[in-house]
Amino acid sequence: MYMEISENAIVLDKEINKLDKFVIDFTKILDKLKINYSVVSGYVSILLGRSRATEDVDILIPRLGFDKFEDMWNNLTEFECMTINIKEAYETLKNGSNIRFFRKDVFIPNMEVKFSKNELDEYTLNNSFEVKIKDYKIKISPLHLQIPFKLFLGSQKDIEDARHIYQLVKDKLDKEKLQYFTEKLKVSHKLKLIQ
Amino acid sequence: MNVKINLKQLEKEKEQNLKDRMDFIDKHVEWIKKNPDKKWSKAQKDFLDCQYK
Repeated sequence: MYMEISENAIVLDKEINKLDKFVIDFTKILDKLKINYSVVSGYVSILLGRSRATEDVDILIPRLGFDKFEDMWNNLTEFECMTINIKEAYETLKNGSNIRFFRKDVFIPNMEVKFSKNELDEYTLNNSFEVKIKDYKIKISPLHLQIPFKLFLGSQKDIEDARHIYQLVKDKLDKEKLQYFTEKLKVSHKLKLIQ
Repeated sequence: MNVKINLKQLEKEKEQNLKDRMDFIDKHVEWIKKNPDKKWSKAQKDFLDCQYK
């Protein structure tokens, strides 16, 4: 089976690697608790085939109340948070910083969790693409935003990630939305680097 | 110390390296598109799994 790409979903018949398994195990808990999420940044390109490793996977979740956050914390039984105290972890998120979870006794990879804090984050959460692998699904940042955002970040690694995704999905990409976010993030001049 | 550094040449090499990297990415994507998921993902799994515990 070959990669099936539609406007906002991708079906993969891939062999699940250890990094994919780490993300699936974490996001399954969010799904179980009905916590919306979107995996953003470098892992998206790795999920879609890029052969590079990463130390952390960035994941965006809505701004949760403390009770819901505590629910999430208590259900992540296979994971540990680098911030040991739950109240401190919650305050860290509320203040706009990130907290990191890792599998017990395994420091890398880790999941960098952040609360939604602006309209762009809300857009990401409400317009996630879905990647289906066997019985699993992983919600990722919409690719028409992921590509310009990577161009905005701008390191060589980011540009390579953007190019990988663009070259892979360019025939199915919503070009109007891509242009919109490219202009909003003021990276139109960088588009030539991925085309 | 008296080490001569040709910055122009280094810049040119850097540019060429970037171009080579981008060409490599395009070829890798082409390879992914032309091959079943099982094949490219097996290669990715072999490459990645040895880097994680």
